[in-house]
Amino acid sequence: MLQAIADSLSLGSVYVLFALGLSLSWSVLNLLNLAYGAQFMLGAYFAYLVGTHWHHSLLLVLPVVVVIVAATSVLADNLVFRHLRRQAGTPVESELSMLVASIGLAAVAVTLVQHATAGESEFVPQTVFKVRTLHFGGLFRMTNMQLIMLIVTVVLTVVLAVVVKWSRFGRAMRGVAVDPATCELLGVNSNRLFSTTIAISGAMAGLAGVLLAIHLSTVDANMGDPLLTKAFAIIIIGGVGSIAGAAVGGYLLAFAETFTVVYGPANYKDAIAFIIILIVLLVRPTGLFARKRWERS
Amino acid sequence: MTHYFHENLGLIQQTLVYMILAISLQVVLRCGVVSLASIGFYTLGSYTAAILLKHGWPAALIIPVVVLAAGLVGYAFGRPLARLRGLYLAMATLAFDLVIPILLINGGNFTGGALGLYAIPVSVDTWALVGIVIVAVYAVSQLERGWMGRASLALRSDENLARSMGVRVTRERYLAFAISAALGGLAGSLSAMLFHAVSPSSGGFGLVTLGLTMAIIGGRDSWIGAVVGAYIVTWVPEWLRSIGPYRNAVFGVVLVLVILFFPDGLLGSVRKIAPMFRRKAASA
Repeated sequence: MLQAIADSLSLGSVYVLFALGLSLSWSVLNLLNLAYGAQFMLGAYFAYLVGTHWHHSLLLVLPVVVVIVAATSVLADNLVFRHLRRQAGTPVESELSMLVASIGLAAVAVTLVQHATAGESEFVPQTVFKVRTLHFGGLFRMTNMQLIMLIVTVVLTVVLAVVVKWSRFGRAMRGVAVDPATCELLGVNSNRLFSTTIAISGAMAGLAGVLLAIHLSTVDANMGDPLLTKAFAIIIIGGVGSIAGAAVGGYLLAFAETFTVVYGPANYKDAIAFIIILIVLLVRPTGLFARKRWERS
Repeated sequence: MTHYFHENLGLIQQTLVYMILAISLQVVLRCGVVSLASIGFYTLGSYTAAILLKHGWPAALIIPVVVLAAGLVGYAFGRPLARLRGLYLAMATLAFDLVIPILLINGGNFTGGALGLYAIPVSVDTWALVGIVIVAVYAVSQLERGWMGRASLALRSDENLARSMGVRVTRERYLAFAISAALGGLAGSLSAMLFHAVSPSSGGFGLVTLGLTMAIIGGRDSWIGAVVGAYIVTWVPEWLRSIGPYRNAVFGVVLVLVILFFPDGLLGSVRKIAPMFRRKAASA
């Protein structure tokens, strides 16, 4: 029982870590970013690349990779998404074209990495980080990486929630999500704000990629796909734009999945996320932690 | 010609099936209803057809049964889903699409588990397929004309305005859902009849992105766009085969470029440019 709770907590951290950046870009940019899984995979891949050629510890590898992935996402925004936002007549049209553009970008990244790794799965060398199992008084066990992810997730969630809620930047971000034109009139540089949001979202993807590459001890081109669909479920459960909601959603899904495996029909574990999406959207379309009631219907 | 036809028969059949799938998505997108449920109905349709074929039903009976059943289920589905908008509807229908393969994997002997069903008797020839595609496409093209066509466009650009002009918004949405589901089921049942096998992995996330790509890059305002999109998505990767491993990357770049430079889809841009030439010709 205690072990199942510990497992749920570490799985939940994986989900939340992945979902936070996606939730941010969805709520601020109206971008359902299907390339997010590819960004995450790039984080993992660069962790492998940098870690193999440059024998330093995680403390040095992590920031380098995070900066690289954040830079690629800003580049994608400058080259593609910014233009789509500008030329779209209605929000719905920009949503759709950005969605398809992100499919294209994901295909590019995944194919390049697939070719670079020759379709094999790689791993981040132990010189970067050595995974050990910690025993907590015979009650439950966790690896040191799982513990780090749990702490990082909690800290990041709190920091991000505080920034979005109380800082000047966070206020501007929430404003732009609702009405970019009015915010421009009030002196918000919306393009710069969008770029910053994209950069933060990309950095989160990179961070999640590095930590998960070490945790799963495998790096391959398609590693983002299964997490991407789960992340959608988490965002729907929590309510779009709610940081706390994403955190609660992630842990909720993890608990539901873990306990289904332990006590229920294990085969249906992967169906839970989708069943939750359907139920939440039909019963409470605004999510458990709704920010804007009118937004979904 | 016949040689070329035989050599590429598989691809030609695939294109035709995709055309129906593409118009099934386009029908809803045109009304501003971002529903991806077609893919789920495609999967359900393909399994239903496969199981019925194995029980010895004739194809001529299966197709109408599947189309009708999918349409009715789609109509029923439309009711609770009709109040969701934009990306939320996309998410709900995506969840529907992705939950079906998992149920099929756990369906035991009835659905063949993770392997799916195979050795399905091939029961539609290419000319019948061409006929079905023409009928389906013609039916959809008629929906785009007259009162119905204008109503669905109005629904997309401003729902409240459409309502005030006497468009029965909710009914139009249900209808779009039902038609889209019926077409999705049709495409699925045809794929089961043509390609011997159905598997749970054939209708997952990959087919969702593929279908969406087909419906968008051609231009979603008209059935022609969907037909063109289906053609491009099936054949461009084939032409790019010579560049080998980078094929999908190039396809991704092409996709992004089309979205960037042809915001209304290829067809939409042609429609915008064509009058310019005509005016020049008239004034000259």
